[in-house]
Amino acid sequence: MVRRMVDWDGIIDREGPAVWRTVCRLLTHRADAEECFQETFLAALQLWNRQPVRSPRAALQRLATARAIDRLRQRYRARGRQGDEPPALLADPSPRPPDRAAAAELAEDLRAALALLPDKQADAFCLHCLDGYSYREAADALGVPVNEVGVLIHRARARLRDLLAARAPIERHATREVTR
Amino acid sequence: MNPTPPEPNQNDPQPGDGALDEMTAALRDAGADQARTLPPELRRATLQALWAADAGRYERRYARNARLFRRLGAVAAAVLIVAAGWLASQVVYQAWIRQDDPKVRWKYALRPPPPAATTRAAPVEREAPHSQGTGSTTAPGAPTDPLAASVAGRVVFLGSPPKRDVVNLKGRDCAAIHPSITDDSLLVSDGGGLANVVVSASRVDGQPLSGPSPTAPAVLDQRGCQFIPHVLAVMVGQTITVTNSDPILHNVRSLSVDNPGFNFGQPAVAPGPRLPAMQAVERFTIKCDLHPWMAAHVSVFDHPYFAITDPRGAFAIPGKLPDGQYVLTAWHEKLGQKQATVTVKDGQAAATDFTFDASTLREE
Repeated sequence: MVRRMVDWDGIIDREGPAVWRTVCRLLTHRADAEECFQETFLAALQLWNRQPVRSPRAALQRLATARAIDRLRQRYRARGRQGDEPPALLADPSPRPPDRAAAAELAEDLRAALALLPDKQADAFCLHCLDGYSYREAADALGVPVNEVGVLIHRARARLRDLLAARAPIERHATREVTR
Repeated sequence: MNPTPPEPNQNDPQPGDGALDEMTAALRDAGADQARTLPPELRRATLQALWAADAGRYERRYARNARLFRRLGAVAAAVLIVAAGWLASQVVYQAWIRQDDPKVRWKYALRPPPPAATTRAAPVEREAPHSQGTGSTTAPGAPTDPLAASVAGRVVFLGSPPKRDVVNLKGRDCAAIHPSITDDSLLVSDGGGLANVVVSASRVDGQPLSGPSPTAPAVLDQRGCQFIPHVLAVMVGQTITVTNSDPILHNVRSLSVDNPGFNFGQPAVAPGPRLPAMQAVERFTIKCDLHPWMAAHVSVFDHPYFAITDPRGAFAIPGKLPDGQYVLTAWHEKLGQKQATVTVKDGQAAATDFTFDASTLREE
C-alpha cells in the first residue's frame, strides 16, 4: 500500500489558528489549551492514517471541540470533588473591567453547562453556535444528516436553558439589565 | 366557552433564549485576544510531536513486518526442509526399487547390481573341498573348473520347454517393487541346458563319502520377491543365512523334517539371523507364506561331492573323488531324478551327461 504523505506544516498553518481559537475559547487555562491543541493534531494523525479525510478543517474542529469538552468535564468533575477555586484564566490576572468580568462570568457559566451536555449535542452546539459552522458543515464534521444537526442543536439549547436556569444565571442577567 | 390555548411551537422563542444567546456570544468572544495568533513554540512542538508519532508508527510497522517476514521465512525454511527430505527419500527409494531394472539408464546403486543373466539360474554356492575354510565360494553363473573336478558334465532338457508361468501380482503391494515375476522352477537355456539341477555322487558299494563342512554359511537372499538362489546345496554342519533385500515383509518358513526348522518374519531389509547348522541329509523347501510363489529348494549332503548346474546346464563336482565306481544322481524339482554310474580312475572320470524331457514333468 502506498502511503500518502500528509503536509502537516501546511495543515497547521492553515487550520491551526482556528483550532487554537476553539480550544482557547473552551479552555481558559493556557496549559490545558496547549495540551488539547497537540492532542487534537495527534488524534488527527491517527484519523488520517485510518481513512482519507475530505475536509481537514471540519475534522480538526470536531476533534478539537470534542477534546476540549472532555477536558471541561474533567475539570468540573475534579472541581466538584475538591471544591477548588477556578483556575487562572487565559487572560492576564490583573483586575478586569466590570463588563469584561461579567462576560467572563457568563462564558464560564456556559462552559460549565456545556460540560454537562451529551457529546454530540455539545459538539453540534459548539460547531454551529461558537465556530459559526452552517448546519451542512456541522453535519459533515459530525458525520450525521443535516436534519439531525438541527435536532441536536435544539436539544442542546433546551438542555442549556434548563441548566442555566438551575444555576440562576438568568437572574444575574436580569439584574445586570436593570443596572444598565 | 374558553378558546383552546395554542400548542407551544418549538421554534417559538423560549424563556431564557436571550440569556443563552448572550452567554453564547460571551463564550464566542472569550479568549479572542489571546487566541488571535498561534504561538510559534506551540506550532513547533506540535509538529515535533506529529513527526515523533509518525516515526513511531513507522517503527512499529517495520517491526511488525520484520516479525512477519521472520515467521514466513521460518515456515518457508521448514517447508523446504521437509520437501527436500521427501524428495531425497523418494529418489533413494526409487533408485532402490529400480536397481534391478535393466530399462533404467542411470541409477543410484545402493548395492552392486546383480549379475546379468538371461535366466535366473541359481549359482552354485558352496565351498570346493580344496578351498574349504577360506570362505570363498564359486562365482555365480560360472561353472567350476572342470580340470579341478573328478566328474563334470552337462544336464540337457530334450524338446521344447514349457512356457514359463507369470505370477499374478494383481492387488499385491510388492507389484510396485517388481513389475512382473516369472516362474523359475524350470529354466532351460537356448542350447537346451537345464539349470538348477543338483548333481551329487555316492559310492556304488554304499561306503560313505566324507569331507569337512564349510565354515562360511550359505546365503539365501530374498530379492524381488524371489529366493536367490532358487536351489541351494549345503553340507551337514553348515549353516544357512537368510537375508532380505526387499523393503517389504517376508516370512521365511522351513519345511524340513530331519533338520532344525525355522519360521520367522523379516519386515524390511535385514541381514537375517544365524540359523542352526544342518544336522541330517535331507531335501526340503523354504517358503514365504506371504508370497506363495516364493520357494527355495535346499539339498543337504554329508559329503562335499555335489554341484548345481549353471544356466547352461553344466556342472562340475569339485574336489578329487577317490578312484572307484560312483553313482551320480541328478535331481530337479519338477523333473525328478536320474542316475548314472561313473568310474573314477586317477582322479578323473569321463564326462557324464543327463537328459530330461517333458515326460517326467511334474505339474503342480
